Amino acid sequence: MSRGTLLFLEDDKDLQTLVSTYLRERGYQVESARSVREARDVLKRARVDAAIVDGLLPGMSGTDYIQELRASEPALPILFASAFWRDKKSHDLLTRELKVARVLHKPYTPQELFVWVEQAVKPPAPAVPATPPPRELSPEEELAAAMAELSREYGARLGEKVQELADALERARGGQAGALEDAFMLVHKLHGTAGTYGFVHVSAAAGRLELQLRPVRDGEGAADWASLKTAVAELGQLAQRAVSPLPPPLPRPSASAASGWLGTVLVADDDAQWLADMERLGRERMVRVVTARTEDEAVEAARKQWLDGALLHVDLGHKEGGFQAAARLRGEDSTQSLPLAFFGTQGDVPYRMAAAQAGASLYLPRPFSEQDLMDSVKRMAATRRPERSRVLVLDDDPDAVRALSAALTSHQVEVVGLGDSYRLVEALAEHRPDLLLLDVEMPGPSGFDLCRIVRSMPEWQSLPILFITAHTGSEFRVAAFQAGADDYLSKPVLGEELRARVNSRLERARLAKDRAERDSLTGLLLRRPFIESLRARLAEALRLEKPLAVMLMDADRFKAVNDTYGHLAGDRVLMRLGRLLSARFRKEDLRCRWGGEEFVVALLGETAESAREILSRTARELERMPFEGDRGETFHVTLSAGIAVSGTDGTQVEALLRRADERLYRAKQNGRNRIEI
Amino acid sequence: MPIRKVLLVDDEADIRTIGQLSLSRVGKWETVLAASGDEALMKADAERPDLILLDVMMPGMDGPTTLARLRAQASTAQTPVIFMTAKIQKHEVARYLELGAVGVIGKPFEPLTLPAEIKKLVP
Repeated sequence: MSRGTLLFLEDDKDLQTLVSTYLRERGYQVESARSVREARDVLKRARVDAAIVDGLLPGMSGTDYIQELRASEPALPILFASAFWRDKKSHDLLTRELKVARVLHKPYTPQELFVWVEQAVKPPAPAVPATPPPRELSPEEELAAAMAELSREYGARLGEKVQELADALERARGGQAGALEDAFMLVHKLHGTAGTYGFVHVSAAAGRLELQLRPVRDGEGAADWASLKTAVAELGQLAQRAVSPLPPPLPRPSASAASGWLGTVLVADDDAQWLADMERLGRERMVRVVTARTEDEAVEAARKQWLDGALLHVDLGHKEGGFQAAARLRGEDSTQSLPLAFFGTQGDVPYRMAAAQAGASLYLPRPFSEQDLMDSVKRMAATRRPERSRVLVLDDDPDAVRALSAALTSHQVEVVGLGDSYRLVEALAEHRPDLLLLDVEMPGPSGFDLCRIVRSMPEWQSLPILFITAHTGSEFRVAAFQAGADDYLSKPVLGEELRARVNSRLERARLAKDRAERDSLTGLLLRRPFIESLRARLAEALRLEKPLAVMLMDADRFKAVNDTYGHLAGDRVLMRLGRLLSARFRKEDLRCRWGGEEFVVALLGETAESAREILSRTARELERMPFEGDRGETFHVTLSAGIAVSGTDGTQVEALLRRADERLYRAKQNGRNRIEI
Repeated sequence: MPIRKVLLVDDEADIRTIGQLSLSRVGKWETVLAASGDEALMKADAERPDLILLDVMMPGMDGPTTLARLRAQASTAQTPVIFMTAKIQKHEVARYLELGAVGVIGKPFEPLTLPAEIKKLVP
């Protein structure tokens, strides 16, 4: 049975033949026309269900012909094939005025054309929302959805509430009895409630206004009406912003990542009362504080949830117990690069060096202020953030973007929504996503078109791209892969499946990047990516006028290790040394396997002396490590190093590496197992 | 004593709505709501909750007065009460604890962690 009759107006003979054959095989009756005259003849003798019109025709433009066609066939579905890229304006002209069902960009494949023909001929199925059906939701997702809905409703009423407040203040200014009390109650409620619904800025502004109003209401001071009015106007603006069409991110599905938090930090100390104070301080300043009273509790807490960083008491449990806790945290896979900060009453230099070697970005002398806490949290969260993967979602339906974002957002994944396909290229440059989710059917260029564009940009050739579509036929799948997509998801998209597919793609992309940039034996950066990062770090150091210490090190008598204990033993040494270097120093420090048994580490903010002190702790640790030879014998390894520091030793990566190498050579000459500066 | 039923007293409907969501869905507790001190006294007597969350600033009968009346009522004399308030200065917290509350929770509260906070206060 025929699926329908198509008028196919295309003057390219080869394309005409190829596509007609494909469409006929799939059950369409195809009436071919190579010119407008032939097309008119076809329409005189046959009734067609849809027309495919090429943009460039002999003698008459496709657009003009469609105009003519519309006079006799006002409702005929028309597909317009264009060899030129159509901008938003001409797209709108074609689709709105000429009622073109779809603009196809040439070259298109027969499969892709088929997908759009099917859609044009068959009445479109009711749009399936991307929202997972309710019974498929996990309890966590259901809760997040319920919260998001409540927040949205509350947000929609915020403007009214502020208006009510402004009115009450106005009445109070006019001297109306009770109006001041009304205003005070309203602002007090906003303070307490808005934050609970996720509108933290509104809540904070209301809190400030409450403080301003309290003495007036208690009869302790006169009202400064002008400044009250300004404060209410500000509050109104914040409320407005809170409910603009694309609201701030929804409360995320996982419990520890509700919107508005600056980050999650682990604070470990023996003092329970002080921990409670830190929790409260954290709540006030929008930092989620997770507390631990012992080393075990700290490790346990870090296993259970995402942390942006950890603040550890230097003497946790016992003297220098914090360093031990740090070593254990750094030994766990999931927290190997967790940013750390130490605090303690001892502020002397050896402690600071020990802290840096244990991986601390900061050493805070106690007692520290709220500002110190906030600064360290922000810094740690910023250090860790690049580890999150970014997913860019392009869909013209804001509800779909929101649903996908709610389903995908987690501690490991950040979602950026985009509704305008014409901004895709800009958005790629701006957000640098690790994965792209593309809706196939959008006004303007289709997902296929966009996918081809992205693939044509060298920088984005390997970006994972997933289509989201209501189509399921094999033609669609072929068209999707031809356009360059990696995978596709059918609507309705289920939360679990979406997460599984996206996460596996992200994981694979990350592995591919690691393979290209990291040494497989030690897990450290390879020489080329290291030098690139080092250049950036050096530029930053020079700009901040901070020193950058480059430490080039080499395992002593490594050839003898290989000869005496076997090559497998030699590999074990390199692996352990690589691991030791990853687990020590700060998250932001750069580590590289320079080649053979040589390694480089760059420490920002350290002088030659402090870098030597920090590295010598690691060298002593290595010295104490027992290694096993291929025949079960035990041996030990030492290292020699040379350190160069930016500024005094040069301002170019090459110069610093050369100086460090000269000093490493000197360390070898001077008897090994030493660090020269 | 394990918590099974919680009474949330707040004059503001928005807080009752999100509070109920948090207490019932996150905390998995049966949740009873009251919009005023008077209603709280009646509901507490009829429902016998294991815990009462009480807003401090309410029109009519405020939180501390409601607490005093709950204590005077035989059926609720022993029921643990937690105050909820948007102003948590030290001396105020101390005053609420003196009145016999087992704890004070600051507003705004975080709906996803409110039950955990409560559990810390009522072991």
